[in-house]
Amino acid sequence: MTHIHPGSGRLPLPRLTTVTTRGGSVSFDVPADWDTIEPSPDGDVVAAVEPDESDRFRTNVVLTFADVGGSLAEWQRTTQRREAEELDGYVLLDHDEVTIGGHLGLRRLSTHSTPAHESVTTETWTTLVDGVGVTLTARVGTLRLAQLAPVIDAVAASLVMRADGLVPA
Amino acid sequence: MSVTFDASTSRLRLDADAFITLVEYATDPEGACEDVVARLREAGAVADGAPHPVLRNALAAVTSSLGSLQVLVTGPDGVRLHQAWVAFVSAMLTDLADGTYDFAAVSTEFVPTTIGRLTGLQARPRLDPASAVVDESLLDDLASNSEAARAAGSEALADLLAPWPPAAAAVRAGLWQLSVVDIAFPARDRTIVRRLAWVDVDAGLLRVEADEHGPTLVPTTSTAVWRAIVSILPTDAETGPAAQSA
Repeated sequence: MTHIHPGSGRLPLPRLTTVTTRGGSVSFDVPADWDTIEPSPDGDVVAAVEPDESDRFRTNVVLTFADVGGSLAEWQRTTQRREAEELDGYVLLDHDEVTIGGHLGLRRLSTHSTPAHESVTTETWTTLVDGVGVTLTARVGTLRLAQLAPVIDAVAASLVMRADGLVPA
Repeated sequence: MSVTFDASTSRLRLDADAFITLVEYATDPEGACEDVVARLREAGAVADGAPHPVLRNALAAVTSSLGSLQVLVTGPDGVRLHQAWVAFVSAMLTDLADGTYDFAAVSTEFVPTTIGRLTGLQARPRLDPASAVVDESLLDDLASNSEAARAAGSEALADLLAPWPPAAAAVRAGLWQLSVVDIAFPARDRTIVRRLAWVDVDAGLLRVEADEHGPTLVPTTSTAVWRAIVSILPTDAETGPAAQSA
C-alpha cells in the first residue's frame, strides 16, 4: 500500500489589509479585495466577504462580540448544540483548545448544508475576555477549502485583542 | 438477495449483481441478465423499459464519471469498501457490510461530507510529534478481509505505536480503524491517482505518509484530514475542457 500526496491546488496568499473595531482594540487581517461590512454602529459585528463571482458561495469572515455569563466551555457547548440543531446536515469535524490573541480559546471545524444546498466548511475561534465573548467565524465553500485554507489560517493568526478596549465605555 | 427501492426517497438497496445489471441495463437493456432485471423490475427500480427516472443522475455519474473513488474502512469488526463515481452530480455505492449496498446520487460538493461520515471523522486528542515507519504488509493486514490477518495487524500496530502510549493502549483495546481513500481520474494524456490514508485509534489520528523510506505514521488532526479529503478530489482545472482537450 502506498500513499500519494494529493496536489495542493493552492494559490499564493493574496495581499491582506487590517480591519479594526472597538476603537482599534481588536483587529484582524482580510484579503484587500474583500468587502468589509460593519452592520452595527457599536462594532458588535464586523464582517468581510469575498467579491461576488458567479453563483458560488462567497467566502466570508465574521467577528462578533457578546456578553457571556458563564464559562467559555459552557458558552461553547450551548453554541455548538444550537448550531447542530439549526444547521442542516451539521457535522462537527474537530475541536481543540488554542490561543487566540493571547487568550485561551477554542477552535471548532464543522460542515453543513446551506438553504441553497451548498456544502460549507466553517472554522470558528472563540475566546472569553472579561465577560466578553469574541468569536471569529470563517465560512468557505467546501470544495474551495484547499485553495482558501492559507487565507483562513492567515486571518485567524492575525486576530489581535487588547482586553482594555473590548468592553465599550 | 433482494432489491428494495423507494422512489419517494430515491433509496435503492441492492446486491452487487443487481447493481452491475442495473448499470448494464442503463446502457444496453438487451445485454442485461433477464433474471436480475426481473428482480429490479419487481422492486420498481426498472419500469417501462428503463431505470426509474429518480435514478437517472446516479446512473449517469456511473456511466460517464470524471473519476472513480473508493473508500476503504477497516477495523476489528470487518471491512467495508464504498465506491463513488465523481461527476457533475456524483453517485455513491455504500457498503452496508451485509452483502448489500445503498446506491444514491450525491451532489459532488457533498462528497467530502459523505467520506467524513463513512470514515467517522471526528475530533480526537492530539498525539505528540513523532513518527513511526510502518511496513506495507502491516497496512495490508489491517485492510485484509481475513479476521485473523487483521488481528495480527492490530497487534503489530499496537507495538508500532509505542511512541504514543495512549494510542497503543487504544489499539490493544480494539479501538482502531484504518481509512483509505483512493481516487483515479483521467487528465490530459494520463491518469492521476491519489491516495489518502489514516489510522484512527480513538486516542488520536495518524496519517500514512510516504517518503523514500516507505510509509510512515505521523500524528495528524481531523482538520488536516478534512482538508486532505477535499484536496484529493479533482479540481476544475484538472477535469475541465482544457484538461480533456490538451
